[in-house]
Amino acid sequence: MIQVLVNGVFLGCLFAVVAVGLTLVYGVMEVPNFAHAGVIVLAAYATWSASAAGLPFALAALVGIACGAAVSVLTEVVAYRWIIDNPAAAPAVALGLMLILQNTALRLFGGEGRSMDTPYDQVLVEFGGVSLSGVKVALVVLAVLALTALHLILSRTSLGRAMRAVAQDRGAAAMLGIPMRRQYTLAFLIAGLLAGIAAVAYAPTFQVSPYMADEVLLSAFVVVVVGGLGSVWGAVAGGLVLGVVEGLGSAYLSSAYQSAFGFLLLVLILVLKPGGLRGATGRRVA
Amino acid sequence: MRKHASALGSSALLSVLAYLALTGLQGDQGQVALLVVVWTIALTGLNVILGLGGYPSMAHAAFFGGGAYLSAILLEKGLSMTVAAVVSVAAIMLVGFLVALVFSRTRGQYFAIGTMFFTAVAFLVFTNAAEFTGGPTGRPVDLGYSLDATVVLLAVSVGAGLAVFHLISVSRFGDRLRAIREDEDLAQHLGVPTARVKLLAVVVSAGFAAWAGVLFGQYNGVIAPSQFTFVQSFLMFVALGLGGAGRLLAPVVGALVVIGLTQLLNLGPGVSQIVLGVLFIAVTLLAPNGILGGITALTRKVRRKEAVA
Amino acid sequence: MLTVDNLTVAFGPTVAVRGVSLHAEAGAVTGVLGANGAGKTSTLLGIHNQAPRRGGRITLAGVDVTGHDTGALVAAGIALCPQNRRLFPNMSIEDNLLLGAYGHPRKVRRARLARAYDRFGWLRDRGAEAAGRLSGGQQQAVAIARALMSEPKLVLLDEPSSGLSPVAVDEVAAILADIAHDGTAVVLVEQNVRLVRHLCDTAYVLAHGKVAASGPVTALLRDSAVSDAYLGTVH
Repeated sequence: MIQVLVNGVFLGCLFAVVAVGLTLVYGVMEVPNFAHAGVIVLAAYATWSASAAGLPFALAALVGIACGAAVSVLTEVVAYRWIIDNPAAAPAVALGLMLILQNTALRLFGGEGRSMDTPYDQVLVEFGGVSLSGVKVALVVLAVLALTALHLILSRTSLGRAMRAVAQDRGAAAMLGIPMRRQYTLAFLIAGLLAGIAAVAYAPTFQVSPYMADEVLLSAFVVVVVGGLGSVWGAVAGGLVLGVVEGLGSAYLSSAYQSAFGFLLLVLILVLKPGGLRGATGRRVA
Repeated sequence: MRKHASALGSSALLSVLAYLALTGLQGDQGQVALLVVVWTIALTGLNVILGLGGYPSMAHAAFFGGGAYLSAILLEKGLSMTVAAVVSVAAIMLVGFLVALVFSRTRGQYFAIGTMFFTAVAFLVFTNAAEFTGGPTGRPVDLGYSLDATVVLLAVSVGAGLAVFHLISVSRFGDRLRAIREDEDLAQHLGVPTARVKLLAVVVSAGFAAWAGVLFGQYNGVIAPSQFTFVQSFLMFVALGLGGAGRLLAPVVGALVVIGLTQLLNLGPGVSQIVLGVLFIAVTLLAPNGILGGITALTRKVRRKEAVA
Repeated sequence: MLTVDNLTVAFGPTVAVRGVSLHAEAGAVTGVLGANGAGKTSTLLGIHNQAPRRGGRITLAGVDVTGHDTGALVAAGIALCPQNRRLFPNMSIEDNLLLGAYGHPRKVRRARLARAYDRFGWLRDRGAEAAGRLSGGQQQAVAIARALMSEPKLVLLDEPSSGLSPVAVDEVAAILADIAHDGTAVVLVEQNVRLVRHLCDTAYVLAHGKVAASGPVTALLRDSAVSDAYLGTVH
């Protein structure tokens, strides 16, 4: 049972990292960034390529994370920035970006999954009757570090303060003279870094393929909805909850339908609180 | 009267064109024709809830696949084609009713994500309930009607579907849907039974999608889960928007563009998708009301210039 | 201090402000009055480059700031206190205030925060509280304090008294009088005629996006035709 819970926490950390990236972008721009899956994919491939080219893993991971940041900012500069006043256009743009990113990966690397080797592949951590592969431990450690760093940035720095403000009331932030363009780019930059971390941590457990992030992204969206669109802490809490729920469902009921349990949780929450846990209202997309 | 004539006339014309395309084109082009026709029927249904009502339903591929799978399963069990088709469509409409009920109090982004997740779960069912669905590799579909009859049904459904959409659009139901799209709270205040209207719209859209799925299964002969993913739902959503959500002929334009590009551009794996992606972004930025909206705006500009000159 | 020349603001086809010209002196409170929809808020937003301008010139302390974006305007010395205060509800009072001095180095921000706490003593103890939990009057005080954090030469306020109890309105009035006394120019959009009469030296009356009347407040309000037509007040 503990093993299942621990695995659930691992899954939850992954969800949290991806969901926080999504919710940051949503808070600042009100855009559901479906293209985030493509960012994760390209970051994973970048890490894989760097590793295959002979770079030590730590360096390859940095390459991957940097790639995630770069691609994410690129999506903002090239596409999302131009629809800031037209949120109904977001799904089309998001899908367009996702198609471009996923299929670029497809063109460059082919469609079969590739496995990524890491130095901690063979490591097995055991404590209290529970065993965790080194890979999963690395993910949890990375996730905790990244989210702590983000928390510090958001609460202690000027930029972070501005970002929180923009998420709460974009107009009021603009009236104070806060440069909005910079905030948008910053949100995408951080989301991209997180995507890179998710890719680096996630790829070794599953396989690197153009479609590797689809299910995770969907679950991450459930997390964002559950936690409240725009709420970082909601995303973290929601991620862990969803991870545990899916983990439990997968272990005790049916592993094939793992994400279905996430769906059940989503349905439950939306039925009881149509605006998500935090109660924000969903805005019109079309 | 003229509005009705032109709408019904184009619907009939499109039926004829569909028939000609399906019977005339072979091979790859024939496959494209089938998909365009099937998508037109399905998207017409989506046009009711999304186009008129403004609700971003991402469940459409699930209803589509549901119709295909259910009719295939029932046919195999020995039911006649007509019964299988009617039961499948009715059953999927019931599913649509339940989905609408569950998400009845959600709006906007939440509705989109919720319905998208429903499609993902439907995909899981299609993939894992191998006993019925044949698993990830799909299953064959017995032929219910003759191929010729199926072609006629497809062609007729195009026109009939568009005609039904037109009738909905000009009816009080259509007005109410548009009111909801404009400002749902206000509509509620003004006495529009929004819950009922939305429910009906989703059920209607599910019916269209299921019927399209039934016909698709028939003509294609084989169905697989990969044809009914949440990405498909997303593509349908964007295709309709590309055409110009809410307009009568948007399904046709959207289907032509999306299917045409994905199937015909064989420049290598994935390239057509990249082009499609670029197109989505370009059209969104340049023609926010879809291609049909863009054309309307252009003709208005041209007419204005002519008036001045 | 502020000269607005022929300002036009339009939202698509709707023209909200048609060629409004006004002048606000340093150390004085200038009122902008008018019925709902007369264009008062749009004028303020237009000055602050938060609404689409179609024409006009803005001059601040002799410098032409027409081309400045909002960030540059704040740096030049114009601060806006928008309608409904618009504090960041889930952020602390202190964070709200610090954002008013965004862009300045940490030392400067902290120094100005200290000065804000000096001026509004009660804020110091409640700095960590979420801004959304304060009463209307308290929120208005914080909003004004936030605007002052940029050490502006000109403060624009949009209906600061709305939704406030008479006691709170008096407190706000006292703060504004204080600010003007320090030499800042204050432009006050208001529906509360009593407040205007008490605080303002001169005022402009807007109707349908244009300046319908202007001049010293007492004379303006004594003109019954003006009052009836544009303010709907009983005097």
